Amino acid sequence: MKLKIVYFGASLAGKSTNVKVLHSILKEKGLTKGDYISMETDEKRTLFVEMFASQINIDDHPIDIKILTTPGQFRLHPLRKVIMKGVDGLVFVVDSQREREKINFLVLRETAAVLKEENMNLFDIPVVVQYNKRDLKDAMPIDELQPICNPWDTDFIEAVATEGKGVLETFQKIVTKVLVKTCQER
Amino acid sequence: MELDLIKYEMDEEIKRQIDNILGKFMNKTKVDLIVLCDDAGRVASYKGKTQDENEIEFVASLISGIFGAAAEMAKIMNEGDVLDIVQYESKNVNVLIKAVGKRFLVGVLAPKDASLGSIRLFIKELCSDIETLFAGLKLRPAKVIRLKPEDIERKLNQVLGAG
Repeated sequence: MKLKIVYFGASLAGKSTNVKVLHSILKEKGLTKGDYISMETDEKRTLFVEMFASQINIDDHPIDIKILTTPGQFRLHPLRKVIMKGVDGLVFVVDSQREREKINFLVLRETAAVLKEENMNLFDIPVVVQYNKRDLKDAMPIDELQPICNPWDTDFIEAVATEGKGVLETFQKIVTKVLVKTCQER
Repeated sequence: MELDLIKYEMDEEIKRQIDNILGKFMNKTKVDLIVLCDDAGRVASYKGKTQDENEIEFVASLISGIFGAAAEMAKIMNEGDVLDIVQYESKNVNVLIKAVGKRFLVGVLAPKDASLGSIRLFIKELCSDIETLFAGLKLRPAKVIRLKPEDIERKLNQVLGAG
């Protein structure tokens, strides 16, 4: 079984940090396959994709998981479409800062449009919302973020990705959701 | 409710036939690598000098990414256009990516001294053969593990340990 998990969210929300930290955690547990691949600009911004592969075993049954990020900058919309192709599960990385409230919502709306172009429905795909940057002073309260960033009323995780908080929990939650949905469809 | 965790695989006979088709292409063209993958970058089959599965996985992701990006550009420049082949050259290799039907792609990495004309000719033949094969493709469940949703959560927690 091969799964494709994509981390999406606003520019500088912490998608790349999440995936980098997750790679380190899984590597330490011996659950990664190969290296971390990154295509970024000179300013260390994601140009196309960052990704790595993981393999976990359930009852001796190998599950290969590719973890990818989308580029967050708005001008890179066509590349986001490419990365979303055939996605099995999504992690919506939300920048909790109040000044990023609108941009989080715009990204959500744009992602729904991207998926629609690929004949997919954002509401049919397993999603986990990660409220990142919870350590910052101007982080919005969760009950204010929920109506804006979690229209699915799906599970959410509070995180400080730079410190590794909530990173593994988010990944475990999305893999669980994808597997449960995959099973239900069979 | 008890759920089945099922892995779908191609029939062994189909796999063998794909393997033969890729093998014949390798012999005719002397390319370094040929990868058959879907448009999401999942490897279906490959043949080549490298046998490193991780490397192949990433190559497949990039094949789908490069082809997808070029297809988007084709659409922007000419609405309704459908991309068929992407070709580019680096200092040491020539790369060719071709659509196989609507969902699959074949990517070829060839040394600079390999004949691009022959590769283009034989890749069309290869794609036609694979399309014919896929037309009759039936996926079958390869393994079934009986799991309840709460068991999936518990077992993942044992493996990943997020709590």
